[in-house]
Amino acid sequence: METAKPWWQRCEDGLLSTLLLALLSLGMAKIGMRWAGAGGASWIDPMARMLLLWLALFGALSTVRGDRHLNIRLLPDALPETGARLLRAVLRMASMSFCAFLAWVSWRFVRDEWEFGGEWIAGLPIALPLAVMPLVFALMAVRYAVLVAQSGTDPAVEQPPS
Amino acid sequence: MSPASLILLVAALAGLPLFVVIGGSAALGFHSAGIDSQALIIEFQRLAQMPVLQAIPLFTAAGYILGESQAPQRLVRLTQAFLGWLPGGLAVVCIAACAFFTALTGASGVTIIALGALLYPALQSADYPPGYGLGLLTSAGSLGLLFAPSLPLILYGVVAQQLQVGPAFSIQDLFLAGVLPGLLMVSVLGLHAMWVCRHQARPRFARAEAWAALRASRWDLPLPLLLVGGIYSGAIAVSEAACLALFWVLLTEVVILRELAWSRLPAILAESMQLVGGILLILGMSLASTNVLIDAGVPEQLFHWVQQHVDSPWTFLLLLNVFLLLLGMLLDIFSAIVLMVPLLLPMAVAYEVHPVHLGIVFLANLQLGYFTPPVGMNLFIAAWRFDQPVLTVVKASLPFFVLLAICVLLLTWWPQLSLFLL
Repeated sequence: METAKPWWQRCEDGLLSTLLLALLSLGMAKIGMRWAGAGGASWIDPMARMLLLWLALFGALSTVRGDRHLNIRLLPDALPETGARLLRAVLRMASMSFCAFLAWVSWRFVRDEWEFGGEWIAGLPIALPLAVMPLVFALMAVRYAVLVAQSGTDPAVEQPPS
Repeated sequence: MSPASLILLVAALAGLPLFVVIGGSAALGFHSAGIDSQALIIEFQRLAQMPVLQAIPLFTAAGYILGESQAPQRLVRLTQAFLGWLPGGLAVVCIAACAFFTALTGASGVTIIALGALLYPALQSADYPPGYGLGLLTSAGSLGLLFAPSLPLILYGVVAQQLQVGPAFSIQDLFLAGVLPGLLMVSVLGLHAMWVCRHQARPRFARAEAWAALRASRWDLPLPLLLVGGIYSGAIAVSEAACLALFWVLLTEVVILRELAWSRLPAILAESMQLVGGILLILGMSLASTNVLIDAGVPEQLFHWVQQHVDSPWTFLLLLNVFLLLLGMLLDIFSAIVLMVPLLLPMAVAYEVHPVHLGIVFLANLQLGYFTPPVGMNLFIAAWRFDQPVLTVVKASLPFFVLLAICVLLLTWWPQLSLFLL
């Protein structure tokens, strides 16, 4: 039930919904302007593109919550329970390290963009919206760290239907 | 293969998230080529420069909302009212409803879960051969992937266009190319249903019920008309169609019909965005890994190796069918597209296979792979949903597998079936 979710999960759901509805609103505004023959506001496209990137990032962050990122997963089913838990911890540790690496690399990228990058909209530097990248990758690393700590106790997770 | 690549491969089979596998291999590739690892992020943020990708979250959210509303019930009632009088009417209803719903949601597991609860009891209580309903629902759960606005088709188009090999094409071309092969599959299953049920008593067409079903669906019907008419005619772009679809679904299901409470909306939208986030993260990483592969000349090396053993495009396509069938059993469709298209498309173009034709062959095979024994994912979803042993589901699905496999072979070796409408 929705009310059973902790506040931070509800905040996360709210953020994702807001980003999606903002993307929808921009798209509808663009269609409306086109049909009205008014052309399009120049800020709509760059804004919509950045919203898509944010949706991808925050959606990916939310997916870590249930350890539901897409994978192949052939071996764990063939292992005994203890082996499967150990393997899960190792894989989560590897995912955590990779996310931390992505956070570091994207931080360097944003820093360079801040210095040499161009403009996004309304005179704002492009580095500003891109700064979400290191933040989200760092949060993903933290979430994986929590999952590593839970590896010994949590039940086996199921793949989402795709 | 380097030791690091070997470790990544084993980790992938062990269940390491695919974005780590793909991103990790790209990072290794950049490192060994002496390129700064920032290239990984530079490639990843190119996601923001592909406007067509905006269609993916919008269509996915629309599909999730439809799945949570009463729309599946109305869809079944409507198709039952208009197609139920045909021989094998209920089975035909099932095929049409599944194909339509999967085209909108793009996720076949969702189709079995959303429509299975409605159709399975009805198929069980009707006088069908044992296992028929079970097999039909399991196989029809992935029908419709070739029809607009199928997300896998959009994703194939995006990935293939990045490679810039072979003749240029648009997402609209892919949608058009999927029409005839998709109709072929639907028709073959429909004709089979009519043949199996030819001796059954049939209800008569009831005008009053048809009218009532039509009235009940009056808010749903503009959506397919908008999508089919708008996208296939080229009057609206794919991302515009996605905007209009989500807007319409929200307006009708939440505001007008009030089948979903506002309070449930954030959780439903967030769940749909989790799937989108997972797909786009893999896609973003694959933009980098594709670059590494191309710079290292991997597709060419692969082609030269294959060319030594395979000399005709037809043999290549046959082997491709077998390979993709295996792949479809192991990987979900989105990961399979992102992982394999960069490797297979350059090879296919070298064998003079049109990229659009390859896309249709690719998706048709993966659609079949969804319920290919012994490990196709829909077999397990159906076993869980209908509370049947997996072996029973496998046996029940086999005749449908054979029928659709023949369709896949036909559309593989008859490129005009895909390319005729372009």
